[in-house]
Amino acid sequence: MKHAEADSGHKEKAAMPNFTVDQMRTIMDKTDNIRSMSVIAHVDHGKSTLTDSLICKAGIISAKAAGDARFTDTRADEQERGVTIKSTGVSLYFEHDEEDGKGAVPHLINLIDSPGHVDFSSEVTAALRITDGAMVVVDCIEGCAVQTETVLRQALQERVRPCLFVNKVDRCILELQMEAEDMYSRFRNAIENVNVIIATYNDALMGDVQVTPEKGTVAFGSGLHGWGFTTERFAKIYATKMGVEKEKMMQRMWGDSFFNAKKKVWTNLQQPEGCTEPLQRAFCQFIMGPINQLMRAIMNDDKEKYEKMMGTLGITLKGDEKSLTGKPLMKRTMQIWINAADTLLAMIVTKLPSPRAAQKYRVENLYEGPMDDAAANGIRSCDPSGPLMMYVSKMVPTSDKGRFYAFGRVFSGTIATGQKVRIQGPYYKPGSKEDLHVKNIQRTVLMMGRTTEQIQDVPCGNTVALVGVDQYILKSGTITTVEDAHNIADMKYSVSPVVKVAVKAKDGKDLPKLVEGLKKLSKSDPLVVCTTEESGEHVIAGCGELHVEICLKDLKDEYAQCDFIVSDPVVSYRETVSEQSGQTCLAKSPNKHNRIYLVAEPMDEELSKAIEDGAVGPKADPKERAKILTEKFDWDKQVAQTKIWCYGPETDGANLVVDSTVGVQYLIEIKEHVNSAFQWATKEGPLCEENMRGIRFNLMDVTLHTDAIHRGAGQIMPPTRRCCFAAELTAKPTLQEPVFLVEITCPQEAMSGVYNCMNLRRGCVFEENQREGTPLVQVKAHLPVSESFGFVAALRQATSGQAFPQCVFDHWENLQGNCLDKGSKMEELILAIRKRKNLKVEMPALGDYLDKL
Amino acid sequence: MADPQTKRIVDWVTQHGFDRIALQFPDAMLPDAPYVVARVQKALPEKRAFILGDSSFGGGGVDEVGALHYGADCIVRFGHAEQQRGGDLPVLFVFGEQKDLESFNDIAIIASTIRAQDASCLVVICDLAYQHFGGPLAEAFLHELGQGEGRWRILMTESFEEASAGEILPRWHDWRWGTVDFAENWWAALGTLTRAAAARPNQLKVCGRAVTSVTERGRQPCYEHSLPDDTTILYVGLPASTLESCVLLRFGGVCPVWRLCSQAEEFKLSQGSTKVDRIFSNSLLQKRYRYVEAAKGAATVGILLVAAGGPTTLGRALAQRLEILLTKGGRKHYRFVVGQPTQEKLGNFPEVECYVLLCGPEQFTWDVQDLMVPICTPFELEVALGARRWTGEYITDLEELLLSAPMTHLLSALPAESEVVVQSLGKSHIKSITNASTAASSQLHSAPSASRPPPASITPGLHGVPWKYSQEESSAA
Repeated sequence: MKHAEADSGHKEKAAMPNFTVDQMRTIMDKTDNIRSMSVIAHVDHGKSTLTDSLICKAGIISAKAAGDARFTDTRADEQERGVTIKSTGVSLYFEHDEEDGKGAVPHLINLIDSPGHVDFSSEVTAALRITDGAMVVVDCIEGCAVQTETVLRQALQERVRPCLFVNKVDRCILELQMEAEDMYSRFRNAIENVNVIIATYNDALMGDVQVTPEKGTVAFGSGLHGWGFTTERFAKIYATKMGVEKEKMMQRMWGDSFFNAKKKVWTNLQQPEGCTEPLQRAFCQFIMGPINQLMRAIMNDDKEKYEKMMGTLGITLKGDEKSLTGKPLMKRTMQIWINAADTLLAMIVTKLPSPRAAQKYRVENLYEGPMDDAAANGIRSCDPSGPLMMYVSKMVPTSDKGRFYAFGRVFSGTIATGQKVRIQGPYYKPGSKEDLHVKNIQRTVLMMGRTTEQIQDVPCGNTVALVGVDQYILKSGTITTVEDAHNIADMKYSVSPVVKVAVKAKDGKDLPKLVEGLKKLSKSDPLVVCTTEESGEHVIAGCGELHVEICLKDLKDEYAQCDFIVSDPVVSYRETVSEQSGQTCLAKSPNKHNRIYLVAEPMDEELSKAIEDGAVGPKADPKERAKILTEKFDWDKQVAQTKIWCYGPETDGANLVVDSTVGVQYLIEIKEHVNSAFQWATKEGPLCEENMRGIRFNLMDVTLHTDAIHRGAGQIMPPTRRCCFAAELTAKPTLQEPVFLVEITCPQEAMSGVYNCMNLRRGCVFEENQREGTPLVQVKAHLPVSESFGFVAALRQATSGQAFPQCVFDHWENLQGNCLDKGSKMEELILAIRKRKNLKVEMPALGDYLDKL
Repeated sequence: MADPQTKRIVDWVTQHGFDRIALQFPDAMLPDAPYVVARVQKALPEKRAFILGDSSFGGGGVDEVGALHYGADCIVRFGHAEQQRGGDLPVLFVFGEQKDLESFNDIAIIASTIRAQDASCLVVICDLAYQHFGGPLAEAFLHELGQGEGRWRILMTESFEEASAGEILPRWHDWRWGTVDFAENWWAALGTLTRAAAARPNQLKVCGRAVTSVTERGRQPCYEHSLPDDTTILYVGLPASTLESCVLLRFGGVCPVWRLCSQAEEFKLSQGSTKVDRIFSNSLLQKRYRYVEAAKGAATVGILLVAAGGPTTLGRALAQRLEILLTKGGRKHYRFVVGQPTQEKLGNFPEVECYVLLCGPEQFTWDVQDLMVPICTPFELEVALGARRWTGEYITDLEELLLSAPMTHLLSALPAESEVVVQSLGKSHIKSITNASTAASSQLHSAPSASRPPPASITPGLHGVPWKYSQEESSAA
């Protein structure tokens, strides 16, 4: 831990922050003046760049470098690739003047920059959990993309309030030389698309969260140049000029509202009577017009014009700035005139909720326990003197290789250095000791992008990083002081780890190093799953090729530091059945005194999904669950209420054991044994030891020995497992393969290349949208994950670099054919998997599992 | 009496004066069993000879418990068998020999392949079925490699022909120097150092087999502490045999290992179609390391002492040692004495998270899949507890395991922290195992045994084997 301390990394000390830790600590107590928000968007829409301009305002990086530095891209490879991989938190201190006579009120803004590439969506989920607001960034040229939708949906599900930033306006002006009216329609489109998504996933408790410029929840600008505005900003100026109220002015600054200069009246007709020419929209006339003119004047080096404009706009350049010309001058001028940071921070402060406001409605989503216990009340009221409830959402590597900060948000109470706390992992059950550790917090620190700052204690509503508890937390966890507190609900991810590679140590000596490395890797990433196969092979599962690539790189450079061999990527399959078992399967216990009769049948895909989502899962409310099962899936009421024995694998998978027996004595005594055998069976199915999915096992009948000693776990478990296997094999077993949803935005002429590429890889295009006003087409397609390796490169080649796909796991799909047919495609596949896993390269025989009466 | 095999058995039995002879056959040889027994019985009409045919011992164990049940006083073990003894009964080994060797056509090619390695010592290890082939092969190598400048030392392993009861563990054994014969300890009074100097190293053993050195003057037992550093190993036998994995696990990390086998499926050296391959231990080690991880995460460990476990004295000694280590490491442990570890027996103890099977490598269940709980070797458990380090040298041999590091060494190597935090791969959660040594010591003092009330009454239980408990015997007499 000593090393971590040394890290508090004052590398950036040279650029003095214009606020101190003490100042921040003071403001932390004022819960109403805190805003926590994450910046979310599609890849390359400019999140990190925008974040930079905010941080520059807070004085951490120099104003000059803002837009180029990518302060929150802390890793070398992030800087190199220009892609954010990990989300990074930073706390900003901002004094906002509400103009209500109270003067400037200091605010603390906890900001998290998140990655935009789909492969790192889990980072976004982790970021959203600990923030109350989200700044959705949309590239006004590309518009709303698939990842915008994914992250926005997640934000709404977490009850995080969105606001919108329409980015890259500078490109419209300079590159595309668009007219103001075109830009307006472009912006309107983007906003509408976002609102459609919001409307789809809206949560009534959050109230109206639609984003509109009139309300000031939409900002426009350029992250790269560091300028941005809301209608509010301009409304303020014109309101005083025209002597109208600011609110009224804001309404007029967007939509169909025009200013008839001749008559000096506002109208909502573009061409009112008496006008020879259509009027310019107020938004264009009063906002985009001046911006357009000024920027073009500077870029055209029309000194006379721009100096005059600067004069009227009240922009004064200082010192060196006067000698600037061209782009630097434009950048500087715009930053002085309509600074992005000022605009955005003002929007954040006024439009996004404070922790106290947000936790009132978020508590139901956050807390697993009853809504009236001390912990729930603490979270709801966001009380710094209440019981401590903190959620650790991710582990951030320290400069000391292999150690981590536990980064998260305090939802209730105050966390302090040296405090004794309960660390509850996701498997913790109240009252038990499982997955529970009681430990002291060594230190609490603030994360400031690349650096950290020590702090004595942190009250609720703030984000904080803990030192010295990393070994007790796997990926996430709840930290509390309440004895009987339940967990804060674990995060649900929108993506799932379906792309796998196996790693092998080059030298047997290095195995401990490799395994330790894998353990650290699985800590550092919220979603990556590292497992050991039966053959001893270590498997890393990630969401996509890029994700796995980054994981491997981290493993090599940071965590394992030894040589290893990486296999080709493979996908995980699921074993399932396609019809009901042809016979009731029987298996006898080793002593032949007990018999188990089972039948397997397929479950609805919908139902499997509902179980995986948790709606019908083991943690769902039994009454709710029974209701859904009977109403939506036509289950018998009695069965739905009481007959489900368990879920598996890992006690929450999409396979069920349903008790269909009638009047069997001692049945309840063997329930535990059947359940644990079922966990084991569903984890490694008979076909190729993959997880089972979507199978319902009906326990038809059981005959048991009357003497308890002859029906112990050892007698019941082996036959139950064999019987499950037999039932699967008699029910037309098949495999499910994972399928990606692929989104490609490319020019029309590249479409043939896209289709070619898809056809070669069993892909199927199901949607094609023309992007309005552009030559771009957005294509959506389904592509089996197993065919997706090298797809990015192949597509680039086929379209001469014009198409770039985004692949995200979508669903599981049954493979066609019968795997028990000799020489079938599926048999080939299964044998190949078995060979890879070092199993017997032959199809499993039913006779091995089925017993005769 | 022409049959040399029968003659050997009869000679051995008459020489030692045994009365009840158990003939144990592996499954493959059972059809011949009645014939063999009939011959032995004919040669020794006054003795009792009978067959032990428990198929669970096909792997090579000696069915000592079975033999004791029938009151046998010796065992004749046919076929491939565990070499390590130290049990309660004397054993004679009868191996099926494959008489197919006439010449060494390829020896020069093989020798040159091996010579390419930078080494100066060659150890020839033969699987039991090819043991007879080891001697001539080693001599041929001596001829090729052991001449002139930069000559090689040639070593080979011998198999045991017979084993008397409890012979393996010496009474006093110093891990640094070897065995001291107490019979001639006139110098014992002079102190440990002298005693150490007087001690002679044991005969070197490789994978439980004694090593002899092959020279022009014939074969001599090799008394050394370990193999020379620059050794090359040549394994003769079928691919993927137990012996091969033992050799690989033990030496694959430190020196080159070659495998000599035929190109065809069947092993026929006489046809001259042999091939030599360099074999590597990485995938084997990888497979076994999984069990180290499994043992690390286990809070409760079951120690399995099995009937087929070969040398029972070694097993007991190891069990005691492991129990101490486990207690110190804060793990709970139970000792199980079972005939064969099967699914239904082990399934009855759901709280046990990992088993350790104390038996020689030849019977170890290396490839078991249908058990829910992992079964690891004692070496793996010691690594998992932190008493040993994983260096790529994997000790399969129980005797070597016991002798290679004394208890004090293991104890001092145990991690000193009072709490071990275990994170295992996969979706499981983090466990912390509190080290008992600090907490337990105080408890021991607080509860002195004197304060405990004496038992109200003590009734002695049954003792012995169910066939005839010792109590029954005395009552009958």
